[in-house]
Amino acid sequence: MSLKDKTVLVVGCGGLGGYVIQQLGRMNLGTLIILDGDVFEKSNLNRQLLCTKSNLGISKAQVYADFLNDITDAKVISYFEKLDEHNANLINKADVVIDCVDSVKTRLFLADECKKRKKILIHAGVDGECGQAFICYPDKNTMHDFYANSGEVPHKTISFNVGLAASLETMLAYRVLTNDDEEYKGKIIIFDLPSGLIKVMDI
Amino acid sequence: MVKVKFFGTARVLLKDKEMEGDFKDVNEMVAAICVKYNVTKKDLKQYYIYVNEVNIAKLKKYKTELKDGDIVWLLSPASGG
Repeated sequence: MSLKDKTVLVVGCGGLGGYVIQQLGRMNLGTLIILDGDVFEKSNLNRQLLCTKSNLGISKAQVYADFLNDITDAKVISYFEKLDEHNANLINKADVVIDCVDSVKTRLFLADECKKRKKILIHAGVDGECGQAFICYPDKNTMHDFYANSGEVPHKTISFNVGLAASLETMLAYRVLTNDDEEYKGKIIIFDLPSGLIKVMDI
Repeated sequence: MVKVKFFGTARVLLKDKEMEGDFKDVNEMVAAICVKYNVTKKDLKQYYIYVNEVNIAKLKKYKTELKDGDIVWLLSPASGG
């Protein structure tokens, strides 16, 4: 199967989601489903790709859907909704799901819903100038294990770091979609820019 | 000496990049960090620890022995998006 036959669901059109959607939109995919219940706010101007002064107050999902339709012939489906138990069945339609949310609670919910449906979930998280990315396979509890000891903590997000994490996330999605993900199974990509660290390690 | 490097929010919390010392195991190292930087074990619980690039969850967890030349990383799970 080529990428043209693939469907990707992006959950969240914020910092990570904006860059991921832009990159996926240029990959010749068949269908892109995007989901976000928020509108652009002034505080998003510092990092979110399509957050402009003229877009403030407008649905993020709608803005990215319009953008995608401008750059790709892929089928684009957008939902101005937050992910919850009422719309989690959207996951059934996807070959790969991408986590672009910004809370541990939502990530764990998303991981559970993907696991139930035996779908692969691609994760990235950022804080300041560091972060991580990994693939969650349905036969593992990677997301729960990873966040086992951490609650919701305030995080700083910086545009270049968000862009880096999103690129790694898109790369992992590409690997899965092209059946070339063997070297990332059971691995975590860790990056910490102040110390110059970017490393692939056993998770 | 064991070298302990702090990444992400661990570096912000401890206001330092790294420390060195002689520690019998990870437990002793964590105790030393608490004393040196005036933090509690609870403060450090959220970080995951790698010894020579292996997660201590796959070794003997906090009882993982440390020896001269080992490099320990304290990494923070980032949750922003």
